[in-house]
Amino acid sequence: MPPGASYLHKNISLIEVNDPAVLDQLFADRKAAEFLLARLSERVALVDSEKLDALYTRLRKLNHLPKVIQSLP
Amino acid sequence: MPDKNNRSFDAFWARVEAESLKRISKTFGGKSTWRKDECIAFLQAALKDEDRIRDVLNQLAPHETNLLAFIKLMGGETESNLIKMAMYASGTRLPGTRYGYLDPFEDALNKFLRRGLVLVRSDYGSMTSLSSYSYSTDTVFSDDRILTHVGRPIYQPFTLEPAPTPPAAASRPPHLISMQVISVLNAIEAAHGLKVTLSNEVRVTEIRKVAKALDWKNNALVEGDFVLPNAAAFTIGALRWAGILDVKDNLLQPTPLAKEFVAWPVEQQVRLLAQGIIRTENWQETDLFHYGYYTRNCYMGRFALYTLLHCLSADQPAFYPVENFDLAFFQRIGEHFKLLSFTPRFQSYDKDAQATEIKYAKWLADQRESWLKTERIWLEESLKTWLYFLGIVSLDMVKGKPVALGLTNLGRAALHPEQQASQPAPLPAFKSNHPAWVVQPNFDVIAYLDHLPTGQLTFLERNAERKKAGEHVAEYRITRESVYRGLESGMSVQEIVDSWQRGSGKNLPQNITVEIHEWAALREKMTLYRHANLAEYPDAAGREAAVKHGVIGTPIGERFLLITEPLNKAQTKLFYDILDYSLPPQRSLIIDEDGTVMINDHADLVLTARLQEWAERDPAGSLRLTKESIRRAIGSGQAINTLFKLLGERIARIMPPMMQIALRAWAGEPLNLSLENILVLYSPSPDTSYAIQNSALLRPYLRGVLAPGYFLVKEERLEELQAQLERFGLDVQFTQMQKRR
Repeated sequence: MPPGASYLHKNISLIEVNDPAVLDQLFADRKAAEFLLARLSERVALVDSEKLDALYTRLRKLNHLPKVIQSLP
Repeated sequence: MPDKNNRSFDAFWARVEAESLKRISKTFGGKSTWRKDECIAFLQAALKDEDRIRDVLNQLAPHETNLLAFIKLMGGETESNLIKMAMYASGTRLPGTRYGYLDPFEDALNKFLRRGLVLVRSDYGSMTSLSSYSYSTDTVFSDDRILTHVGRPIYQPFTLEPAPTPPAAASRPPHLISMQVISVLNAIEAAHGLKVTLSNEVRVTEIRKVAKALDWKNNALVEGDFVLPNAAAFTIGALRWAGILDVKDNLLQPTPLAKEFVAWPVEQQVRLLAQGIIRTENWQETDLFHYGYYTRNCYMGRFALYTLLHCLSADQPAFYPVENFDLAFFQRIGEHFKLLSFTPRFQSYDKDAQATEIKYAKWLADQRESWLKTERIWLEESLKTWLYFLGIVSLDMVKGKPVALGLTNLGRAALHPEQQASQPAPLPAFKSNHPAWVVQPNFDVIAYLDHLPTGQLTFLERNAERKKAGEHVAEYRITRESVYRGLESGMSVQEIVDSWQRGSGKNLPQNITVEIHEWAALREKMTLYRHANLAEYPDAAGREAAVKHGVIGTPIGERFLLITEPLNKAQTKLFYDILDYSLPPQRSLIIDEDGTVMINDHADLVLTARLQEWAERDPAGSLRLTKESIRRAIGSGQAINTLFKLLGERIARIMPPMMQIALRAWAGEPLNLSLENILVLYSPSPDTSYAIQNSALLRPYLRGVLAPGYFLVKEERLEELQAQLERFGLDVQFTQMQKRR
């Protein structure tokens, strides 16, 4: 990255949780972790866009009720 | 759905031959002496003149008007074979000889095409004549400016002796049809769309998912004695053809029309669904038949049957024996239609009329015999499946077979909208002073279906789980899942509570209001963003500076900002680069033989994250594939093919072959080598080396040339080689090592 450069990542998939412990649990869950690419903060992780539906299914199996936001501006 | 925007004749006149254009101009009152460009200018003006169009339409023969009416009924564009079936089934009288070379319909259509009120969709051939007869079909279409002046088709009623009204005829309650549609749309929305194949067909697994979500065992909808096979494929197919579902972003999803559709009166829904199911190829009434090449015959038959039902009396409820109805069906289309094969056409050039009639009667009897073995069975299956499940027919069943049929109130309303204005409403009207439902403190809901407009049925299907549905009352239950579904559909928690209260005409029991709010709060704990925009800055100060420039978003960690308001041009220009992950990924990876990974597009978050699963960072910060990093990834459950797939998609230069081998070996693939002793024949003289290399007699004893003068010897044939060399007068000296061996 050139010094001082900033980037705009468009059409990226993310998961955000209120409680960082929930994200810890997801990274510890082998099936869910398969769809998580990187942790960007303690509450947000980068998700493999192609596997977002699979992650959603896994989250529902784990009894979560994720709010799905199709797009932000 | 046909593309309405692509049916304006103005865009096609230039493709029509000059001679045809002259004829068409004449139809609209022009001159046949004009040049092609004059004809086109005239026709473009003529189609803007409503009076002129009406004049032309008024001069049409009844069968020509009906032909246009059927094209309009099918959305303005359809296959000529479908219109053929509708024309015959509706009892439309056609000119032309019964036993001639040409089918009367095709003859009539070809003549009609010359008038220019209907065109053939053809990229290369003529647009004013059919490309073929009987064996295949052409797509024909008309301009909306013409069709707007065309009414509904005329159906010639037939006289069938009514059967006594059966004591226990079965018909499907109308609201169940709406429920079926709404629940399928809900399931598709909950799945965020259905994946399609490259040819835009819905994947079979996706259809099964919908059936599973709706608890349709074996993908069949069972209601009493009636079974709708492949119910999910049926509903999805009908909705898709009706324009309620369409493919967007490789997913089949509800179109904007879906929201309007679910609030329509049920008879209007049924009308559109019937037209949809007529053209659905991926659903069949029964698996008794294998259509093969003739799949399209199935929907020709459906359209004919649907047309024929219009010919039943719409004035009053009446039942007809299936036997008689079937015979009437055969009499209308039997000599033009076969379900499982091409229909042979009776032709006779015998001048003796009586002999021709005898031959024709014999031929027709054969057709009828064949019809009873196939088309009759298909008719019964059609009545039991799509016509029953769309609520169009009421059936008297004996031992699982329909023996009499009648149109339901819904069927009459759907097939004869023109009669609705002059008759009392056939379906129960919504009474707004009566509660639509009662919500009980135990979360059960009793819905009064007679007091429920389709709009509220949509709310109910989405926001509660249906347990049971009868003719007048349905039982539902409010659950955590149903509240979640309602919220995911875009309603706020307050809107959900308000809607429940509006429908019941009073406040909800307090425990239910509290529970709905608590379930809604659970959904606020986790958010998935499918297409988010994320700004990445070198550090917190960089992000702070951007926020000062008016970039609005939610901070993530130290350097990221989740953009929540659109960026203006000036703000967008502040970024060094913009990476759009919805575009095909770029090939930006280079891998050296020592495993070092170089990424040209180093800012790609997804690529870097994926590589980090397989590589490790060296002290200089570069990524490197190593034995340890690969083994760690494999140990955590990754498959090496995932890495090869990633590299295959993103690598810019072919990976060194040894690195490929190393990756496979590190992943655990056994790729063993062994060190071997070999026997080498050495010749210091270039002349001798050249002679050995080109000797046909010596070749069988040598494996190859290692370097100039060095030959690899087949050890097992050493003695033969030695003997041959000696014969050539060459003395072979052994080294000490060779002597030991």
